[in-house]
Amino acid sequence: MALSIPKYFKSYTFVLSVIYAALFCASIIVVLTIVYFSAFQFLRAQTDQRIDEDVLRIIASTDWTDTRTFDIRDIRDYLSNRRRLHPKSDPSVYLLVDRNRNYVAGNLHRWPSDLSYVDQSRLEFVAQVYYDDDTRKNHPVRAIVVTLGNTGHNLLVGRDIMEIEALRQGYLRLFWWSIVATVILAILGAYWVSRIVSRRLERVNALSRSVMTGDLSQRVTFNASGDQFDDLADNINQMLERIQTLVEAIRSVSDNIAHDLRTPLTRLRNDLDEIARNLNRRPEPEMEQAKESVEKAIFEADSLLRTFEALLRIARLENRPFGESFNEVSVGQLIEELIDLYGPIADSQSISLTASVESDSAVLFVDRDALAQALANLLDNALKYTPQHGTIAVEGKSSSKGFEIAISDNGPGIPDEYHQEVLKRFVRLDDSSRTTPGNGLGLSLVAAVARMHNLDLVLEDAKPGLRVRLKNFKLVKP
Amino acid sequence: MRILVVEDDEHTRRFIAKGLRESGHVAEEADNGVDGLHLARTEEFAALIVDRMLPRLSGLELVRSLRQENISTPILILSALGDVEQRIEGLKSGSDDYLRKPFSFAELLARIESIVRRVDKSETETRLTVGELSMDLIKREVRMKGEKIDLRPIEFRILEVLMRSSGQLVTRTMLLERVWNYNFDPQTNVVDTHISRLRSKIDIPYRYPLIHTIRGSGYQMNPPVEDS
Repeated sequence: MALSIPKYFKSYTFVLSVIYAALFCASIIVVLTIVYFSAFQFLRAQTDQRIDEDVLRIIASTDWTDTRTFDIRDIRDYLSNRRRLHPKSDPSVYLLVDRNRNYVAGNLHRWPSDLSYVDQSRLEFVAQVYYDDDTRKNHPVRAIVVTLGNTGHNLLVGRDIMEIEALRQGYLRLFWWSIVATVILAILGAYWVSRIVSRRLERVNALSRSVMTGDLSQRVTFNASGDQFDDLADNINQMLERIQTLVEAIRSVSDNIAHDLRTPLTRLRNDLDEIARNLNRRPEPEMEQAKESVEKAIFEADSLLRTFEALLRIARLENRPFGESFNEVSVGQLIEELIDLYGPIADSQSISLTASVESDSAVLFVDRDALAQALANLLDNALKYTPQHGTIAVEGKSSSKGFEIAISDNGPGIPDEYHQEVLKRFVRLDDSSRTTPGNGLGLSLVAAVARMHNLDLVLEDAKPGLRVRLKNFKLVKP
Repeated sequence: MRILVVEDDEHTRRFIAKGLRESGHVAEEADNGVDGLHLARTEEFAALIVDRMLPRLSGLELVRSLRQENISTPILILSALGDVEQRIEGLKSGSDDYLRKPFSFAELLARIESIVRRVDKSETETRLTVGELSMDLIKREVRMKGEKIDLRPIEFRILEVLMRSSGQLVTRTMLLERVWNYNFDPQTNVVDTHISRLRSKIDIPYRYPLIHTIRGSGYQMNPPVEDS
C-alpha cells in the first residue's frame, strides 16, 4: 500500500467512534435548527403583534364611523408627532401615501418600489429610515400595508428589525462554529476512544503473539476497574493458566515416560555393553554367535534410545521460545559444512549433491545446532530416497520476506495429499519403508525447528521429486 | 589411572566403576556431590567423572568449586540433558568434556583418556607424527613416507583429530563434535564414509594401515607393528 494510514484510523473502534461522532453532530444540528426556527418564529410574531397594535393606535387617532369617513389629516398629524420619538426607544417605521403613491407623512420617504402589495399583506424590505436625530440606511424593515378605506391612501406601518436581523446573523455564525467545533471534538474523541481501546486490545494481541511463539508465562495486565476489558483479560489469564498447567502436565508426563523408559533401557544397554566386553575377551570361536547376538541387541537398544531422544528433542524444541539459544550464523558456511558432511555419501551412491547460495555473506539469526540437524535430516531423507545417478540440490536465496533454504531431489517424491501427513510423528509413507532405517521422526523434527524459528515449511512437487522449502528466515545481514 | 566417579544412580556408578577396573584403572566412588567434592579436594585423581544432577551439591557446582580452588583435574560431566545449551553450560562451568546419557562404556573411556591426555600434551603442537605419517599444522601439509598427500580441508581436520589421539579410541560422536561441532547424531553413518575416503588416500595406496575400526565404537589410529 502506498498510503500509510495510522493503525488507529483503520481500527474497528475508530470506525465505530466516527459513526457515533457523526450521529452526535447530526443531533446537534437538529437541535440548533429547531432552536433557530422556533426562536425567530417567536420574534417575528412578536414584531407583527407590535405592528398591529401600532396600526390600531394610528387608526384610533381619527374619528370615524366607517372606512369612508377617514380623515387623513388626523393620521398625518399623528404620524408627524410620532416622528419625533427617539429611534432607540421606538423603532417604528411609517409611511402614508396618497392614491398616486405620493408621500404624505412618515419617516420613510419613498414607497418601496419593488414591492407589490395588497391590503393587509406583510412585507419585509430594506429601506432608508429617517428619524429626527438619525438616518438609517439599508435597514431591514418588517411592515404591513393598510388601505385606508375609499380615500385611496395607503398606510405602511412597520418596525426596524435590525436588531433581530443582527441576532439572527449572530446565531447563524454561532451555529456554524458550533458545528465545526463539534466535528473537531468528535474526531478527536473518536481517535482518543479508539486509541484507548486499541491499546488495551493491543495488550491482548501482544500477549497472543508471545503465546504463539511458545511463551506461556505471560499474562495480560489489567486496570482493575472491573470493566469488560478486565473481564476479558481475566478470562484470557485463566485460560492461559489452564493451558500452561496442561502443557506442563503433558511435558512432565512425556518427561516421565522418557525418563521411566530410558532409565531401564539404559541399564539394559549398560548390561549388554558389559556382556559384550566380557565376550570380547573370549577368543573361542563358539563365542562368535553370542557376540553377534549381543551386538544386535545393543543396536536395537540404541535405536530405541535414539527414538526416545528424538521425541524428547522435538518436545524440547517445540516448547522453546523464539530467540532463545539463537545466534548469528553464516548460511553459506552452514550449508557448505553440511555438503562437506554428506558429500562422500552422495558420491558413494553416485548422487550429485550440489549447493548454490545466492548471497554467501548472508547471516541468519537461528539456533545453529537445531537448524543443522533439520537440514541434515532433510539431506538424509533425500539421500535415502534418491536413486543412483540422481541429483540433490540445496539452494539458499533471499526474498522480500527474508531468507529461504530449499532442498530438492529427483527421487519418487511425496504425493501432494501426504505433504502435511508426513510432518506428523511416526508417520512413514509405505509399509515397505519400515524395513529401511529411520524412526519416522525426521520430518517432525524439521517441522518443530521450523515452528521454533517462525518459518514456513513447504513441501512441493519438484517434478519429479520432492522439494522442501524453509521460508522466511530472519536475516541479520543481507 | 585413579579415577573418581561421582554418580547417585547406583547402577550407572557400578557400571562405570566396573568398566574402569576391567580396563586397568582404579575407580573410587561417591554417591553425592558433597562427598565427591571432599574426595576430589583431599585426594589425588587422574580424572573425575561427575553426574550433572547429584543430591546435596549439583555436578556443575562441584566443578565450579574445584576450579575456584585451582584444582585442575580433568573432569567429564555426565548428563541426561543433551541439548547444546546444557552442554555449553556444562563446559563453561570448567569441565573438560560433556557426555550425554546413555553412553557406551567405550565412549566414556575414550573421552576420559582423551581429556587426560589433553592435559598432559600441549594443544599447541605444530607437528604431529604417527609412524610414517606426519602432519605440519602450520604449512597445512600431510606427508606419508615423505610423500606429500593432497587432502581436502575436512579430511585434514578428521586426520588431525585422529592423530592427536593416536593410540586411543575416537568415537563417531567425538568426531562429529570436534570436526563439525555438531551435537546431534545424523541418522546415516556419515562419519564412516569420510573415514573410508581418508583411508583411500592414506592407508590403502601405501599399504600402511593406520586407521583402525573399533567395532561398534569408532576409530583408532595406530602405527603398524614394525617387522623386525
